[in-house]
Parts: sequence; structure tokens; C-alpha cells
Amino acid sequence: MDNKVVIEQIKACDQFSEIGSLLTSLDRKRLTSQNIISLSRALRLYQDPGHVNIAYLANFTVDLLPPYVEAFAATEGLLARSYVGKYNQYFQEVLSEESGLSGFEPDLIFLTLSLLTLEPELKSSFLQLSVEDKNARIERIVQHFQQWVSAVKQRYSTTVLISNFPLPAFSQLGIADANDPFGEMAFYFELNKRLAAALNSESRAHVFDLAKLSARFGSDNVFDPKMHYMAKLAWGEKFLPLLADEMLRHLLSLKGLTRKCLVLDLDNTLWGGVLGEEGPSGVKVGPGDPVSEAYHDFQCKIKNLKDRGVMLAVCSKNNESDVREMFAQRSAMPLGLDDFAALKINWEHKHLNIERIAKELNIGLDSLVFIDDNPVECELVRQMLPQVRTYLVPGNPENIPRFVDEMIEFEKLMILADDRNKTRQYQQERKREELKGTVGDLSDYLQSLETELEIRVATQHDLNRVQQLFAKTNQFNVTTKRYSMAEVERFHAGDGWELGVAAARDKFGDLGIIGLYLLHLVGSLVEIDSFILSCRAMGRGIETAMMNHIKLQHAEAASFTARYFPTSKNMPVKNFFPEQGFEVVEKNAEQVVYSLDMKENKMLDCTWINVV
Amino acid sequence: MIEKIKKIFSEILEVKIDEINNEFGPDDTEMWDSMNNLRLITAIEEEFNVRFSMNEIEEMLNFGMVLNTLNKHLK
Repeated sequence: MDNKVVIEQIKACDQFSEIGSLLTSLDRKRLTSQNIISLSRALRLYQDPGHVNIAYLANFTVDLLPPYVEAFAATEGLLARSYVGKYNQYFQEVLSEESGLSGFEPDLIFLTLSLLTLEPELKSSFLQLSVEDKNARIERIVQHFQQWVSAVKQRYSTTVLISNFPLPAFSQLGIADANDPFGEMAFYFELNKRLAAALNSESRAHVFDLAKLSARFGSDNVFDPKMHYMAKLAWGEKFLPLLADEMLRHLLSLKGLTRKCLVLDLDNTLWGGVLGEEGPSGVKVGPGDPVSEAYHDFQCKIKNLKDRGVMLAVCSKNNESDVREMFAQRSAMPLGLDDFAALKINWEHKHLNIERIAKELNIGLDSLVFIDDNPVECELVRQMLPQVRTYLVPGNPENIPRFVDEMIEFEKLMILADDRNKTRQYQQERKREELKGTVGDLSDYLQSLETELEIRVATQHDLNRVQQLFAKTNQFNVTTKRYSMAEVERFHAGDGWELGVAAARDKFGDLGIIGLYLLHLVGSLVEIDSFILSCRAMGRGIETAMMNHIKLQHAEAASFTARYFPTSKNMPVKNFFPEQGFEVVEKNAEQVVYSLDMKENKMLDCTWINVV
Repeated sequence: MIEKIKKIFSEILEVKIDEINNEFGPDDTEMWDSMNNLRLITAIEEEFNVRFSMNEIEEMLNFGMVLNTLNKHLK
């Protein structure tokens, strides 16, 4: 649908919350300046509370940018509110209690300064500056920003974004600049480097990389001299979409909307051609011909995403054995099977496989991006799983590498060492699955895992994970009670409650805390309030070891009761209590109540687990 | 051509097309502020693939003057 038509429909709606599906049909890359004006005006009329309040402070006219950011944010379902600070009053705005900023309650403050306004001498007499002068000047500018950040921190707990400085299109030294170790370009590089280092030590201040964006757009085009002289605009209007795109990446990261997993089709997505027809040596990827090189570069970019902490998964209609053969034979490809946290290679519907991937990785559907070259597959996934972000791969191979760069879904402000290990955890899970396939007998398999289990009363340190298990576990969850952190802390404090956690490791690696139980103790009566096992730890008897532990700890209890509340998702635990020796006391549609006869209390066998 | 410019004016300044005559100027609507003036210029430059000079822009004080200046460029 045409953007203009969509915007007209948006205008007809009274509330932002009503326009979700309309927003997703906007094509962000094709919004014209007219579209931006009418969309941002429509958005400003909504009474809904904004999702993010952005303040813009500058020493030039920045007013044309906020409508772009508002429109771009809306395409991702975010209602952004803007405040533009008074011209060149970025200190007063943050210091004064009477400032407009103060009444605005910003979530994000964006400070962007033109260097030549801040330090006019750099324009008129750069060539007269000595090396010491230049260093001192850089120091002074960086300190100026540090002082401003301190001023912000006195009154606000918001995130601040500070733009660095784009290189000028021409140097005052002419071609000599490149031969001068501290020429004008070198000065900008050094300034940006020191600014980044200074902000790096601040937890809530980050660099907005204007220098990169300006280079990408072309420094000849960033600046419109007429607009600069007439209205003190530092940026021409054509540059604004790029700025808004970068701002949107920051906003998604700020709001925790970063997605976690990229699900890839294989044929004509990860390589050119169809594996089933052309065979492992026939499909196009790698050096040699233009199309193969494009797919090679695409794979490099995907691998970079993985190193940034994005999990990769395959969802392909293929024979799994063919695909394994392909990866074995074409081992020079940038991506190997080891790079994928989940593989779904079969002939079933893709939306079913994508759901399985989400389940296997224990992440929500709204954490997934799916890409495929087949418009029919894309449309089906879009309809069946609207939470998944689905993209059609560009039709021309030359555009595929760039397509990865343009995805805004995976942005993070920092890449931690932990991010690089994320895939490993899931690979361990895959190795377990593979072992299951090779070991004929289930008990041999369980034995071969060499599982060690530690069951203990939860410590303060465990509570975040405990709350996460309460909040996220759907399947192995007998009562599905969603407790808040405050409640979890109350259980931890004791007083009639026993909160236990189970941590497991096996020969493939550490699974971390994968289970919990919560007992309500009234005198010598024990009631199992909650019993939860993470789905990645199911099917290996850990639940039995945990229950044995509870039985042993409370062998003196006068009575033992438990409840099962059926939900659409917790079928796996339907027979859990009977299997553990409990008997039905009462049964209706809402619940089944069980009790355990203490005289008949027996430990069940699970010798393959070593409880430590 | 006149219809195209009127359409740009009506969209940016949120006025009805039949309200726009040659004398229509910044005094007729508070929407015609400095930011929207820039937007008008940019939109017209884009639509007709012309570039106005600063001197010309300073002279463009109402709709009729915009039209005249554009006509000079299009000749």
C-alpha cells in the first residue's frame, strides 16, 4: 500500500494504540518529506502517552529532524515525543528548573553541536595553531562535553546521546592536509576518538556517530549552504532520513526492543541456487563468479551478526542430510553448521518450524527476524506469526550483503564477551540432541550425558533467574503462577516458604539454573505451590531428582499436597504428580489436587543423575 | 503548474486550495512560520527541479511572488 494512503487512514484514527497494523504497512525507506510532515502532525495529535520522550539540544537549527524521528519511530510502533531546546542553550536547558526541558521529562537527550560554532577560530585560523594548541583545543572541547554530562546527571537520570564531529568536505590545508600528521582531518579523528573515550567512562552517555553518517551520505551533500546561511541549518533535508534511521536504532536499543535471533532460509538466501537440484558443488557461494561472491559477502555479514551476539537459525525446506553434506563439502563457506543455534530442515510449514525454533531457544517470537527469498513463504509467516519480523531477501544478489547492514533489529550499545558465547550454549544443546540420535537406548543416553545436579535453597544471587523462570516458563510448570520480583523476595525471606533451585551441568556444558520449586510450609503440612523446569532441561529425569530431594528434605511432614492447574501449554506436566507417586484427591476442570501418602513415600529411580 | 504549487502550499500550511490566491502570505496563517517556509522552498525546488537563490527567497513574500520567481526559472 502507498505510504500516503496509509497516512490518510492513520489520520482517521483517534488513538495511537489503534493504528498498530497500519504502522507496520508503512514503508520507512519510501517516506517522502511530505509524508513525514503529515504523519508527524497526525502523531502529535494523539493523546496517548508517548513511549519515548526525546529532547534535542543544539547550537544550530535542529527543528526539521524531530518529525523524521517521530515518523520513523512510529513505523516500529513507538510513539516518540519531541522537545527542541532553545537555540544554543544546551547548558541552561539542563541546569534550570524552569526550562522547557525540565517540564518535558525526557527519556533521551540528544546533544548535537556544530564545531565551527563552538570553536569559530578553527574556521578562521586552523593553520596558525601549533600541535600544543590543537591538543589543548581538543581537551577543552572534550571537557566542555564532560561538564555538560555532569550537569545533566545532577538533575536527570536519562540516557544522553552526543553526536561526534563530521569531517569537513575540504581541508583548509588543501592536499597538504593528508601529509600533515596533525592536519585538519587528523584533528577531527583525534577529537572524535577522545570524545568517545571520555563518554565511554560514563554509563549513560553514548556517542551518536554523525561522522560515520556524514561520510556515508557524502560530506558534499550533508550541508546545504543556502539553508545554513538563511536558517542556521547544519543539515540539508535529504540527510535527515539517515539521521532518523540511526536514531531509531538507538531508540530500539534503549527500549529493549533489540531482537535476538535471525532465522534464515537456505536456497537462494544463504547461497545462490537450489541445493536439491544443483548439488553441493553447484550452488553459488564463495570466490569465483560475481553471484557466488555476493553470497560469500552476505555470509560474512551474517557471521558478524553472530559475533555480535545474535543467534542464527536455519529454517529450510530441504533434506537435512543434503544440507549436512553441503556444509561438510563446502567447508570454506564463512558460515558452518556450528554457527547455528537451531536447525529446522524439513518439509513442514515454515511457521511451525519457526515456532519450534523460538521454543528451542527459549525466546519469544517477537525476538525473531526471518528472511526468505520466497514471497509466498514470507507472506505465510507474516500472517501466521505477525510477531516475527519477516523480510523478503532482495531479488538481486548484489543487494543481499547490504540488506544485512540495513536491518535495524539487532542493535546494541555495547557488545559484551558474553554475547559471543551465546551460540555455544545452544550448540551444546544440539550436541545432546545429536547424541540422543546415536545412542539407541534412552537410559544409555541419559547415562552418557553425565548430568550433575545441584539442588539448593535459592540465594539472593539466584533471584533474578528465579523470577525469570516464573515469568517465562510455560510447559513444565504445574501451576503457572507468575510471581513478581517483590513476591519472589518474600518467598526467599522464608517465613513459611521454601524456595529451591536446581542447577545442572553435563559433559557438554553448564546449563545453569534450570529448575525451581516453591513449598508452602504450614506447621508439618507441605504444599507444593510451584514446580518449574526450563524446557531445555526436560526429558532427562531432573524433575524426579528434584522431587526426590523434596521428599527427603520433608520426610517428617504430616502431609504432602500438590496441585495441577491445566493450561493450553502445560500438557507435559499433566501426569507429573501421579508419576511421582501422588494420588488424586480431587479433580475438576480448573485443577487436580494430589496428596502423597507419607508411609508409601518412595524415592524414584534416577541413577543417571549425580546429585552433588 | 499552479495547481501543483497550490497543492504543496495546502499540504504544508494546512490550508484549503481555494484560499490560496496571489496575495496569500505569512500574515494569512500562523502555519507559515520560518520552518514551514523552508519546507515550502525545499518542496517546490524538489517538485520542479529548480534551485532558488537566497536573494530570490528573501523576495518571495507571498504566493504570487513565489509563482513569479518559479516562472523565471522555468522559462
